[in-house]
Amino acid sequence: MANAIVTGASRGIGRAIVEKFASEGICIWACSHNPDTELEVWYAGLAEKHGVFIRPVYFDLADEQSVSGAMKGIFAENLPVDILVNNAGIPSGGLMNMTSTGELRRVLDINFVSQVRIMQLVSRKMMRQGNGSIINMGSVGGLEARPGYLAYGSSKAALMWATRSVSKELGPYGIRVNAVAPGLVDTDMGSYKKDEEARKIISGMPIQRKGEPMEIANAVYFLASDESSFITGSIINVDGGRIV
Amino acid sequence: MNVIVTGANRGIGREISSRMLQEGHNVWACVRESDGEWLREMQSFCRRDGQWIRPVVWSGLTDRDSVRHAAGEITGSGFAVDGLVNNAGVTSTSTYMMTSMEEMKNVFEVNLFGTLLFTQYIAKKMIRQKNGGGKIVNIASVRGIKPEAGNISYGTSKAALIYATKVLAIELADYNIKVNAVAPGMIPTDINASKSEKLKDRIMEETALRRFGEQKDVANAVLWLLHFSNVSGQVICVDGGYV
Repeated sequence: MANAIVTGASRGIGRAIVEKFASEGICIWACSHNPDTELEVWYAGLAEKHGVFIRPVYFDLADEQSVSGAMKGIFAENLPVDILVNNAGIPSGGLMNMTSTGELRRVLDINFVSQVRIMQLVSRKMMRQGNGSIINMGSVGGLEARPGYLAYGSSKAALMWATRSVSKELGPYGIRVNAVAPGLVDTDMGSYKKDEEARKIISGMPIQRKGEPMEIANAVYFLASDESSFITGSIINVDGGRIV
Repeated sequence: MNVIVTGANRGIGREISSRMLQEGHNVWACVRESDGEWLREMQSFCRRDGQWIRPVVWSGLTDRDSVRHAAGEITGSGFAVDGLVNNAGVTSTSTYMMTSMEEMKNVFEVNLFGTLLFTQYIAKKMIRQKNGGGKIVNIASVRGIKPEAGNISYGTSKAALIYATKVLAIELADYNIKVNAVAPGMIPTDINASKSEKLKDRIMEETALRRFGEQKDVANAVLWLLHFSNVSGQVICVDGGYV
């Protein structure tokens, strides 16, 4: 049985990943920001249904001490960590001249620096184990240049570049590092865009609809599983063909 | 699911066919020769009543009449075609200055023109059939992405196939047909047997996982694309982190 750390597990794509992993018999440390009893009840039901554990872990991605403390807490359980899904992230939209450097730093800090920090901590444990699969949540927003994507797009582009670079460093230790790049997905974050903007994007897509969170989770599960044991440094776009 | 696999009796094609059969799907196996031993082995993978593997014998992708005839055999069978795996291909290794245009044309004839012609026939069927749609997976190569000396014919043919994959993904999306490619890296098959030890060592050094892949790794990615719904126009490198 495999064990996975999933960040941003409380909603949207992260929630679908928790559901998919649990249904495949994977135990999960489900990480999110705010303690939530309703969520914990859902975790408990899911865990019981599939015979796995789902332990809630709360930390603040913007606070390095909080991140380190949470990871240490997970490692203290002395269980192998086979999978890390760096899914948590924040949206941000705004033209360059309307984006403060403070906002730019905040987005880059959470969507990029913190993700790398988690990879550092978890990969050390995976190196000792001699195996592991890391999946970072990229975005087509980091591949496709559009106005208003400066902060978010740059942060995701950086994370996807790190995915490729780090895959070269961790491959010799048996650790695979890949990314999934979702397009427009039917989540709170996907609804961050104005309707008009979303309509414009959808009209240019071969598959003219928003994706479902479970469609992203399916790709994440594929990269987490042994089915993809020779795939590393790859970025799989799950975007209805938005970028080909 | 009813799926066509070209080049189905060797290497990666054989692996894909056997895996599809083991999962309970039906397979049209396009081959140049159908030998009894191979067919019996494939039939042994069938696990339910009525499940089938049908060899479709053609004289290869360079023969347009044969391609048309093979496509007709499949599309006229009365079964829906849910998937097409364009696996058949030829390799060619020679430096640019030593490559005749005839050789290049031959490689393109198989890896691009023949493949696209066959795909046209099958896509027409996918468009017309009830609850239209289907999945097409092209077997490309990391050689079509990362250039390497001595690969002018093979590499450019696979690069063209990758481009074609993306165009088809756009054009066929309206008909609910998803088109993707898998780009294998160094997989020990007949097609890679001719590579020098020196070249293999260098590729190994550049491969993050420090090992070569297996045919099942490629089959896993193909099967995933055949089953998955919201991915189109993508190229999945199964290369241990080489590209």
